[in-house]
Amino acid sequence: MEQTIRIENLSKTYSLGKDKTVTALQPLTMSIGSGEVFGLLGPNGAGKTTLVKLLLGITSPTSGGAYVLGDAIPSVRARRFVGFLPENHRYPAHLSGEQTLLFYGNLSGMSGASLRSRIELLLKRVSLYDRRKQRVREYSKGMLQRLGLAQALLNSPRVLFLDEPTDGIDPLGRKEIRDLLLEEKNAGTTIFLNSHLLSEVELVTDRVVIMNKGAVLRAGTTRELTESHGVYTIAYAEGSPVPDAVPGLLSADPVRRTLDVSVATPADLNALIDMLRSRSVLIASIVPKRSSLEDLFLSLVDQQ
Amino acid sequence: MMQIAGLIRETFLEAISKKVMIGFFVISSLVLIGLALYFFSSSASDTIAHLQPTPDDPNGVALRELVYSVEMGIGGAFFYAAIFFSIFVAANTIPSIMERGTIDLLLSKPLSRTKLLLGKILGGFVVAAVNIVFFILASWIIISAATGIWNVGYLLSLAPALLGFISLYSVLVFIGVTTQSSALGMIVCYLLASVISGLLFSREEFLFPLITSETWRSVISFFYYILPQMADLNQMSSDMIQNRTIEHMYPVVNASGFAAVFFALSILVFRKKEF
Repeated sequence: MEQTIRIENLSKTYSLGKDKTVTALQPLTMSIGSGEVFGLLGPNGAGKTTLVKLLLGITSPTSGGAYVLGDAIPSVRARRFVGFLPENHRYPAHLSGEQTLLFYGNLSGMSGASLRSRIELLLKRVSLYDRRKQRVREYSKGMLQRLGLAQALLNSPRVLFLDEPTDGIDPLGRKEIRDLLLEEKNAGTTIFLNSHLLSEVELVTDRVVIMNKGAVLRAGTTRELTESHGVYTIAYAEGSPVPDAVPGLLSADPVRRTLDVSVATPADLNALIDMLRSRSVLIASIVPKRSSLEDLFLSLVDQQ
Repeated sequence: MMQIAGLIRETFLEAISKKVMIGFFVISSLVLIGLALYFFSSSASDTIAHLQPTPDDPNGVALRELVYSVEMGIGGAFFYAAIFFSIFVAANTIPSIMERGTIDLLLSKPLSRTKLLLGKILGGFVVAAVNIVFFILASWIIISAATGIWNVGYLLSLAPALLGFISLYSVLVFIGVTTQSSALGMIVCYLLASVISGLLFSREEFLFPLITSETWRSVISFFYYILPQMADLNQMSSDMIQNRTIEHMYPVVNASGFAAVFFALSILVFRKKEF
């Protein structure tokens, strides 16, 4: 897969005055492929926003470097193909929604009829077309967030950086944004997503990095991270005898007729199935057990 | 170019939204209407008719002097009023973009920091210049149309006023970039434009009699030569209105150099600034 973002030992330390520093990002090396939806998770102060700011050239690294679309940061050229929705964004309150997009479109080097038609398309896409003449100061939090998303998509970006895109948005709006992100992903856009809403991240991301205190705690595909290795849920059919003395049993739910078991190897799993069948237990399904990203996130942060 | 135009347009709309610009426009318009009513009134027309060139005064010197006096009065009062107002309007131009949530987004766009700051600086200048030019141009047309004396010097007096504003605006931009404070910028500019400039201009009359040390006198003179010489620019403006020869161009050099240094420093700081 072609690399859209390559990060090499990138770190950031802020000075807090005389002899005091805080490490916002410890040396980080990783890459993000083209068309990938990449999730960055972590509590406040984990270093997520610092990483995005570094990649966009908003702040400068203390050490290391990074490449966005092949250009070393900071790169004005690369930013032509980048869309960004910052957390706590503030748009010029005196502009209308449409004027706001016109302003940021101009800053992205766009103008004329092509910009106008793009604005119209995006305003419709984020359901703000009917409110386009309204001043931004009169917009609700959810409307501002949708306007921000339209702003980030103005230049048809190849890379989209989204910092808390569903912040302040109701469940229906979140679903619309999720669908929009999936559309962008299908169109080949690389998406870099910062969010506190772990269930949201789980639904749309291909790969996730969990950070805390400027360091990476865990990285991998969503599937890899949520998989509990060697733990299976075995469901048995109604009317089947209730199994007892099951080796490796973690928990049993007689109401749902399930057993959670832990086995060391696939051979052990097969031996367990043979044993259950020999006791006339009618097996309905065997599913590898997964934990949620939220469970993993909380346990990792707790460990710290 | 599109990016700079976008920044200027946004700054202009911001100034309009704050009503101060509209307030100034309304006040200017009322003054202009008053001026027009007076100059096209029958009593003023009679006076102007009496002062038309005669065999005793073939060049119409008396009328010309009347026009110069009126333009001096308007121009003199307008010089400081325009500068003070313009500083007020432009004070928040830079601090407004430095706020968190605003600056992040602006810096994520494909334009350099230098271009971004220059765009905002130009935006603030356009806002101030539109008001200054509007008043001077409109009052020039009214007075000239009524009297038949088209004094180009009055129009040219715009240049020292704009230069004076630019030199103070550079301080406003620098303070905005370094401290994000519009209030501090305004205080410093008002002090520079009024108290400091006035005292330094008349240092030989007011300050030197109080100071015997030659060293301190040299220090005061040094500040006179490096800080914007608003009083000198105002004097230059008056000389232009009266079509007098400009004795020395140092205030122009001083204001231009001062502004260039502060704008350059602002860009340097802004380029290195962490957000």
